[in-house]
Amino acid sequence: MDLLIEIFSEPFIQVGLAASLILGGICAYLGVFLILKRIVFVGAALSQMAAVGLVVGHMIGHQIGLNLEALAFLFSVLGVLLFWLPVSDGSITKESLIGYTYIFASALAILIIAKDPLAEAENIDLFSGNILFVTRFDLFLISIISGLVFIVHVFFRKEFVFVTFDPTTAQTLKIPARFYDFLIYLTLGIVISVGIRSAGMLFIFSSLIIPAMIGMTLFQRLIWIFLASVISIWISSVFGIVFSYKFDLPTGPTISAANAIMLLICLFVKRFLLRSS
Amino acid sequence: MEITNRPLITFTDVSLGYGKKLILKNLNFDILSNDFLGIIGPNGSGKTTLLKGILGLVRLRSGTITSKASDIKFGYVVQRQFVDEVFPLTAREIVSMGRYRNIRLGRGLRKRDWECVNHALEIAGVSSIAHQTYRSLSGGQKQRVLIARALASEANILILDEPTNDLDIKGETQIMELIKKIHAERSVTVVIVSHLLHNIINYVKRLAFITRDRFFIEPVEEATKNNYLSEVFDCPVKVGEVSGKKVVVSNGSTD
Repeated sequence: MDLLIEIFSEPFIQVGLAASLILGGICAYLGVFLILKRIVFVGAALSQMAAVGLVVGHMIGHQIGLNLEALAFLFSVLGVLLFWLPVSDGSITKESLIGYTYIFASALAILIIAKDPLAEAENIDLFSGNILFVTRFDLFLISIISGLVFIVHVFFRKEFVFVTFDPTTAQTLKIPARFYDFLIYLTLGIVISVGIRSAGMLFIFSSLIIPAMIGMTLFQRLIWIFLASVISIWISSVFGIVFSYKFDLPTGPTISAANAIMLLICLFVKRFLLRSS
Repeated sequence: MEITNRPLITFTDVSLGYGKKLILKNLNFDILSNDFLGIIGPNGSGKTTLLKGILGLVRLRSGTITSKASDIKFGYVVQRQFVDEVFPLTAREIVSMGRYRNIRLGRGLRKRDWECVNHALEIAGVSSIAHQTYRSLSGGQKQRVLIARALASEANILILDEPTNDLDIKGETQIMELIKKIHAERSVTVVIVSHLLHNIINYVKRLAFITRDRFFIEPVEEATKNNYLSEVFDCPVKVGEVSGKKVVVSNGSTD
């Protein structure tokens, strides 16, 4: 208990914890849609696109008058448009397009970093992030953006669920399925572009995927899946921060690992304990 | 109830297609009030495209589709295979989607909406499983839920795409009987696509045939007498009768 008080009385840890709860929570919520739409790697590909935006911003952002977040956002939106627009030629599937984007964006990021000595030093941060070094301004930005995205999702909740489940029937009921689909992608792109710099690609991608898997392992009703998903990343964030502080580990990967272990525990509990009871 | 000659929807010189590909051309026909129209044709002939044309989901390449009635509401029953079978929703939640057209953004269902949902569940015979998850239901139950969703929208034209796909013979019959009952008791116009010919010809009033270069509609009795099925499917097809029900057989030869 003394350890917990010691850890969480540190102001920078309080800010980091708040950032991981807010960012992790909104990613966990959006991740349920990714899993239900069966497009989990869109999360990875968009994260990578946002990363390209960051390294481009690092290299030439000051010359063109755009900051890192703005460029990360622009590249995310580019990715969103790429995945949302229908692939007209049947020879290329959406899945392969997502894979292609991931590979191309990764290669671009590495090449740009190689030619930008200052960015090279920050390469590790791009992947694993450093959520404990989040500034109060970053936290403010993360809170506002996550709050707005959450409000959009609450407002359009029934439409988002309908177009994810059965877009064709939604269209026959005069519900603009393509527009709502775009909104889902766009909110995803916005959250990723805001979170990637502070939390890193690993934290963002794992928060999009693993909590939703936990929710779906434990529950069969959508509302409980959303709740379990968000709560699981909150618990993992607390454990992750404590472990990273105690054992001097990078925070983002520790939170992701804690969340991954939590999924294993849930699978074990469901398979062996609940079945036997 | 008999078909009236009052056209609900009129296709005039309509051509439909996707991108550069033209699928159906020069369609001229009416969907009549209280119609029970079956659409048949070989695989890839454009049956689903025609349904999407009726629903306004495919942009017209040429021609016009006009509606004489002012209050046409389509209830679309999508092919069961096209919806996610494991989606974490209950039967009631899925049926409630039929009401979304009437609900303002950001609002939930009102009392009257839930009454419509419960009534639709009752008509489709799935009230008892309303709170079960969709994924836990059998194929026949899932199909009933999708039909209930179309009914919840208070549709006056029911459009069904292969509603008996992948069902056993009992399930097939139950679903077709349900559709027949809805048509008869609620005076709902029904347009149905199915590749299971015995299902179609025992229930519908008129048959629409789609071939590569021809589209025509006949009353079902005329269509079976004149052996159009052989022409449409390009193989010898015979229609007989067993216990008062029509059966369709092919001798397997395409010579």
